[in-house]
This record gives sequence, C-alpha cells and structure tokens, in this order.
Amino acid sequence: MIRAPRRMMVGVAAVLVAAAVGGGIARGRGGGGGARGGARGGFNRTGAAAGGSFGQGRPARGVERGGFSNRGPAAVGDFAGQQPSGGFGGGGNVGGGQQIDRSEVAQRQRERFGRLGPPDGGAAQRQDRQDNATHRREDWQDYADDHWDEHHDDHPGVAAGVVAGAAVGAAVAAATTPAYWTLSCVPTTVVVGGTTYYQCGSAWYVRVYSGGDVAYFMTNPPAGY
Amino acid sequence: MRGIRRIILAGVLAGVVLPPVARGDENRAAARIEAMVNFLAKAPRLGVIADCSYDVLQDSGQKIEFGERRELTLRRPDRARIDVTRRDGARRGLLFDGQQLTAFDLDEKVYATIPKPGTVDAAFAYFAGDLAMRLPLRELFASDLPQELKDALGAARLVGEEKVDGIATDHVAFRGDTADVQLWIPRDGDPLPQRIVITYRLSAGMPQFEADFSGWNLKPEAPDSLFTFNPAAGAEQIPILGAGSGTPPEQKKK
Repeated sequence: MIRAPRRMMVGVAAVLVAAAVGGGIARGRGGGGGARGGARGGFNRTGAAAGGSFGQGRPARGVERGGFSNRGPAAVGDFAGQQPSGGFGGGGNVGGGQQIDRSEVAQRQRERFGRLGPPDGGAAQRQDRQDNATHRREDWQDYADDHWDEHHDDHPGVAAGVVAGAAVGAAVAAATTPAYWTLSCVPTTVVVGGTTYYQCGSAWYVRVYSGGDVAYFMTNPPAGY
Repeated sequence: MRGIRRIILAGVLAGVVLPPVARGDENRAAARIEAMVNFLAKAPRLGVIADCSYDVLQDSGQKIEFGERRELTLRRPDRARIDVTRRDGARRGLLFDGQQLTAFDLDEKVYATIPKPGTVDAAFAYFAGDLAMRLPLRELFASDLPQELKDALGAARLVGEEKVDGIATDHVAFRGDTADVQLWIPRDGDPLPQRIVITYRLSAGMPQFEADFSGWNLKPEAPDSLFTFNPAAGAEQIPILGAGSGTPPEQKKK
C-alpha cells in the first residue's frame, strides 16, 4: 500500500525537476528544436546555415561573374558596425537609426550631382578652366558631375571635407567630390612633383586612401598640362 | 513517510535550486569575458595572428566571403604594427611609432603618413574614426575595452563548453546595440580569445566578421625599429580621404 503512493511521489518529484530544468532551458531557446538545441545557454543549433547545404545548386539570377565588392559593415570588423564612436550597452549613440541606407545615400548623391550638373554637360566650364585658373575647383566639381553617371556605381564615397596626411603637391582639396575605386579607362600616367597623375580623357586623378583602400580622386591637371 | 517527504523536499529543492544554476552560467560568461578584457587591456605587450573572414552582401543580394591574415604586435603605450595579407595576396599594413601613423600598401606601392603623437589607443581611434580607415578588431586591443564592454556584460551568456583548435574553451555570447558578439575563451591558462564572431544584425543580410586567433605572445620581440616606417624605393606618398562630417562613405564597388 505504501509503494504505490511512493511511486506517485517519485513521479511528482520527477515532474517538478523536469519542469524546473525545462523552464530554465526554454526561457532562452526562442522556440528552438527540443533536445537538439539543448546546449547549456539554450541557443538553437538549427537553422538555414547549420545544414551547410549548397541548396539546389542553381545559381541565382543575375549572379555576377566578377567585380564583387569587398566593402561593407562586416569588412570594418568593429564592434558596432561602422559606428566608430559607438560603444556597447545601452545609452550609447549607436542605434539602428544611424545605419547606412546605401540606396538612399546613392540617390541623395545622384540628386545633388544632378542638380549641380550643368545643362551643357560642363563643356563651357571646361573651357573656363583652361582660361581661368581661379575657377579650377568649380570646374573640377563639374567634371565630377560629368562623370557621375558613368561612375556612380563605382565610387568609394563622397569626401566630406577631410584630406589627411602630408600635402603631396596635388591639388587634392577639401571639397565634396567623389573618388572612384577604378578608372573608366586605361589611363595615361604622368609623374609631376613625385605624384602620379592618371588621365582619362579630360579628367585627371590622383591616388588617395579611402576607407583603407586605394582609390582615385579627381583633381586639377598637374602644372603644365 | 519520512522517505516520501525527503523525495518531495528534493523535488521542491530542485525547483528552487536549478534557476540559480542558470544564473550562475550567466555570471560565468560575464566573468570569463571580464577576465579576458582585463587581461587584454593590461598586457604591456601583445603579439597575435588573426585569421579573419568577413561577409559582404552584394547588390545582387548574394553574400560573399573575403579573408585576410592580420599579424599584430602591440607595445603599449605607443607602438603598434599590423601586417595584413589578404587571401588574394595583397599585402598592406599599419605602423604607429608614437609620433605618426603610417598606412602602407606594398602592392600599390603607396603609403600615407599622419602625425598623431600620443598613445596607440588615441592613434587607432583617430585612424578608424576620423579617417574612416579600416581597422578590424580595434576595440579588442584598446586599453578601454573593459569600459567599452561594461554595460554589455550583464546580458552575457554561456553557450557551452567547446573545443577550438584542440583548446577547451567557454563559448560565450553577448549583444551590443547593433552587433552580436561571440567569443571562445580558454577555460585554462590566460584568458586570451581563440575565436571571435561579430554579427551585424541590423545590416542587410546580417553579415559576420570572424577571426581565429593563434600564436598569442605576451613577450613579442618589439624593438623600436619594428615600428619605424621605411618606404620602399619608388613608393609614393598619398593622402587619406577622411569621413569628415562623420557620415561614413558609401562603400560600394562595381
């Protein structure tokens, strides 16, 4: 007569233990897959990437053959995702609102350059530049406008005004001007004052660091050109 | 009846006692990370090799992985050297000699020099922040790492005990405002991380940066000459285009 209640009690105790254990794990599992996900911290081991399968093995439409970008949030490798001043924990100045919307940025830049672009394609300003050296910066800006369409998928960004490092002779000025990862032509190179200039048609470039990589930055022609 | 009481008591106790065990795991995770960050922040010298990889979401939506080996030598407070070899063979690096920072690219044959007298911490913060130059894992080697992570440790959790490259580690995880971080910290010996994974969960495609660490050295050879830049013949000095207003440059390539 005593054995039966004892078994019941053992069963009750087991349920209590199971409930306690289950409660501890379930809180962190987030709907994971039962015992398979039963790691100590309650993290789920299952998921799309866990299978390591190549899927159907069919390339997605529009797959690129080359020219893959190697720049992005994870390339920066910081703790906050391209938020250099950001820190961890609450109360920091890092937040989702500051995430970069690349398409929005690109659109903004296109609009801005579109507005700045001269209706005649900049030909008049190019002539001015040859006539009047004092207008060079504006002309140089116009070149940026002229070349925006062909380059807009190809630039590392718009320099917002800081060029650091030693002056290198080139007229690399603080202006809102795009730089490019690649040039649109096989350039003619000229070395003037220790600086290599790259010429594509009527546009001239020098090399600069941008985001850790070497990019081409539009500049005035070197002296004598 | 006494036996039954004991069983009931055991069951009740188990219910009471087990949750604190779970909390203990959280404490253990925080304690392990705290030990790691304090150890890293206080080391007068450090040498390590980081085999890194990172995802880049392409405009097509396809995620592509790139990688590089980064060899770091740090001599606090004011000397640092990082040599980078990308998987595609490109070689570049960064030197700080207490007076100036020099970024160099051996294949492009260019370098940039920026005066920044002071500590490695200040120089690296300037390099990655003001100049928006790429400097992965900078925070991990900054002296203020313990302060940086202080607030995040409360929610740190132990994922499990795992072996990485044959070393028994605690796999711990914590979350920042924009990124999730996982670390594998050895259970014995110096708490120097064996591996780190950072997930940028707010970025499209949730790309990850990963690094496997090897060759930790607390007494690396670090003569002054190691941090002094001598440009190769024909190397050209170029400027750095900074982020200026703080708006990160759009990072895109055709």
